[in-house]
Amino acid sequence: MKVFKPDEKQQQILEDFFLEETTYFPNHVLLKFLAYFLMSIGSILMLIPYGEIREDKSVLGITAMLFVMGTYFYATQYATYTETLWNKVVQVKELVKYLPVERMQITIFRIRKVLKPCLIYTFVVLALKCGIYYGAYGNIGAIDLLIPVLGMVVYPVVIELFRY
Amino acid sequence: MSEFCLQFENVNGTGRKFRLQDVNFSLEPGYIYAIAGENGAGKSTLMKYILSEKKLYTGTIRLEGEDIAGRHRPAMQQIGFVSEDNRFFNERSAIQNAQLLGCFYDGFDMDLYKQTLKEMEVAPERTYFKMARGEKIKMQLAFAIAHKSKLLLLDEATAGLDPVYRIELFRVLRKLLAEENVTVLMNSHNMTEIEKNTDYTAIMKDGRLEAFHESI
Repeated sequence: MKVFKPDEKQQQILEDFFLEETTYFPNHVLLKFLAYFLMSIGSILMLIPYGEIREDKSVLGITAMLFVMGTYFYATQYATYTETLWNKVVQVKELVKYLPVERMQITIFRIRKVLKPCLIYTFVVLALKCGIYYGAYGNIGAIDLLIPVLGMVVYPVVIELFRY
Repeated sequence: MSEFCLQFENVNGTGRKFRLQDVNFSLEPGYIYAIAGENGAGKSTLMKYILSEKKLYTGTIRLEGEDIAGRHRPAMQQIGFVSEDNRFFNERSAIQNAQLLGCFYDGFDMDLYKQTLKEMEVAPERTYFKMARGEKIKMQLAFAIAHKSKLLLLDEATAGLDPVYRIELFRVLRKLLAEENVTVLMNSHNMTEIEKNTDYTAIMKDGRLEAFHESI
């Protein structure tokens, strides 16, 4: 059985490849914009005091969903590219199928890429939450800390792990 | 170091219409080997087993003496695949494709790539989708040569090519064999072409592969 472990050489090759590749595919700019937009909206909604919501808890799901959609768009630039003449979406894994790179390394590469903005957004949300809650209520509930971590780090990583 | 470039040892597997049964052979470097057979006989499946990252068969496939199972990256460093199924960036030129995809190989030689394209009269600036089928095949061959493949797999690469392209393709392969320690394994359903241009041939029928014999 293969161990889920990064091979730094292959990771660097993928880094170089996408650096070259994105210069050819400017449509990734739109993906990035959408990604940051949705992640920002999701993060703002994460500041809601969940512990105070008594009745309709669906807002939790919607918040997490917006953020995850943002991460999904962000990762898409490392998963697919569009042939503009035919408007055809091609999966990167199909392109590199016969090249010396393992699929597991592509998944790890994508997770690493997604993890970076996830951790930054989560850190900012948690810091703001702590500041606001201690100022307003004098304490913070476990659920208010747990939900941003689950929705902004764990859930996006799991989605990428099982993508395609 | 093994004396054989590629070895199949008791390889069994299941295709859509057939079962690959006890495929055994060893290929020495320096020759063009061909597998002939009707469509659906299992020729392409055999190549898929070599190229797939997932082990889809039972038995052992060795490349340069090493079992390829679980060694996708090192194996693909040594294999050049030429086929219509091989994917490249459609909207990029031959040169741009090599710049983008060549970085996956340890020793990709851009100068050799350009030189081979020139020898085969493929315009390096031509966009991939604008190339004729023969040009695409030649470009793929140049790409495989540039990353110094030990084993070249040609999956129905000559199908639909006009005679001029075919002659040119075999001329390049012969030149390569004379200069480098390479093995070529190709498959085709055109028996005449195979017998005329290759060194050894084996017939595949319903998933069973005969022993390789000298081409006439």
